[in-house]
Amino acid sequence: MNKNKGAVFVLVVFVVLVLVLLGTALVSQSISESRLAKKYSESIQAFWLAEAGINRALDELRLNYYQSGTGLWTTILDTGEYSVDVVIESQDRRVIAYGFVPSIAQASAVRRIEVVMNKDIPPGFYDYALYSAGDIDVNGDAYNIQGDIIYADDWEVDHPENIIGTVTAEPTITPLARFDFQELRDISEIQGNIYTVSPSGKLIDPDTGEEKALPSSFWSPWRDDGIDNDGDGAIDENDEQINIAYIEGDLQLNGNIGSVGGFLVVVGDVITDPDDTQDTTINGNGLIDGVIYTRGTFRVNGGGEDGLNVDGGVWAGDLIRLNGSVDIAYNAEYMGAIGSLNLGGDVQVISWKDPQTSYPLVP
Amino acid sequence: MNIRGQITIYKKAFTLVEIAISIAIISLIAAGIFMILTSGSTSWNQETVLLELQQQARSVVEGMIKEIRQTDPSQSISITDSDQKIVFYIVDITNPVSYYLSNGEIIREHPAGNTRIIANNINSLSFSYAGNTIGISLVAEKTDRQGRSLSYPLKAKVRFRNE
Repeated sequence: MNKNKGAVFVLVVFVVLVLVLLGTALVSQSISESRLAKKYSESIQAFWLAEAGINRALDELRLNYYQSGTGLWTTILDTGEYSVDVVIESQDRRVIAYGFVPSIAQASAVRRIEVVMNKDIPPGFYDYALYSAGDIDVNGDAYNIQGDIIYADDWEVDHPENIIGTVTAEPTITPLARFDFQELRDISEIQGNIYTVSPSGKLIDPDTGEEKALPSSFWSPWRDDGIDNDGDGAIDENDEQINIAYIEGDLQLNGNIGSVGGFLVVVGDVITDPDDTQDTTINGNGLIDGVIYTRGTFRVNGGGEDGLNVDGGVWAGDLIRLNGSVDIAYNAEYMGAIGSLNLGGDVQVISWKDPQTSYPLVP
Repeated sequence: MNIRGQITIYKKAFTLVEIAISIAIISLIAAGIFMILTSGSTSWNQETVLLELQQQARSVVEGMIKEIRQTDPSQSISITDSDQKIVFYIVDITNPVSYYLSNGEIIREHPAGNTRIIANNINSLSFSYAGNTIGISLVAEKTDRQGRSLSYPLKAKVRFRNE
């Protein structure tokens, strides 16, 4: 009997050994899984740190475009650090932003983003009846365009004989040049021409919260806005003033819109509303006595029996689409007047690249 | 021990009833342990397959996101084959990149003719495109050792960084 008692001990040792082996395997597997997960999350954090670096560069270059260097801006944020290099390439700026987690000195994850920025208003920006940094899509035979057209991407136009003017394809005009929106907004504010857009698409005066109509013509009665419009060196009543309507949302005009005018700047509200598209849609008839700048789509549907007339020109960021009875005529006087405002361009991202892709790319 | 102090070893033996009862108890315990082990092993296998599907789905979606983010929206973006194929251009890269589903595998093609399998065990894949945003939706599916079909769906939305 006493001899057999040892067997229990051996059995217990064996079972414990097996359990320990199993436990060790489990623990080591979960450690390696958790390391992988940590590495993945650090890589994502590093990516967004690099994005923060790009945003910082955009902000800094808007204040002073003539800065360059390595490690120009380095900032420690919660989970890590970013560092930004800027290289001057003629009129462009190549911005390389790095995100480091947890720090530059002891980085366990590094991500890099390369961006090209510039602030050009391209030559000939004020010379076209239609200027699309994307596509142009015109349907039907009930339209007329008088003036030159330029576009970057696709051209789908019925009855091109209805166009009196040249048509140019120019892929380099995308993205649409960006005005200095703050400058435009400031002028617009003095004129009392800032609009927000209600969820139902109505134009609202942000000061009163009430519905407000757009200006009725391109020129407005003279007010002292500090701008020498006629360039004679004096700011006086000879300086006719352009109505600059600054619309922070999608512009929608429906039905008989009558006569509206000015330099309509549709910039949307993409910062607070991710669904905002900065589009201009007109369903109806009437006259637009002026120029429309929209960063998204410019779309006209219908135009009614009397049609929709635009006496000025249109800039659009994505697409110009015309359906139905629409007449668009280039107005050299209006465009010249906007050009002589000498509006500055604002820095924007021309190309964005993440060089650390998962798969190889062939140039 | 009996009265005379002799050792009676027979008393120490188990009766048949005792043995039968112990066997019954041990059998019950063993059956319980076996059931626990079996269900543990089943769910282990199931979770392992699910984990594998999750990791694969995440890795392939992450790879696609990295490239789709760099799309040049001024060039054509096409979604064809019942939304199972996307062809797009990346800024400064001449040849387009395409992703499509073929026989349960996601294929990446770039440049034309150069294909690479980037995921298998994919039951469905679809792309959508609206307002500078691409939607990716896929379902990874695999059969485990018990012959059960396990699936893991994953959806992602990618906004272009290039306007």
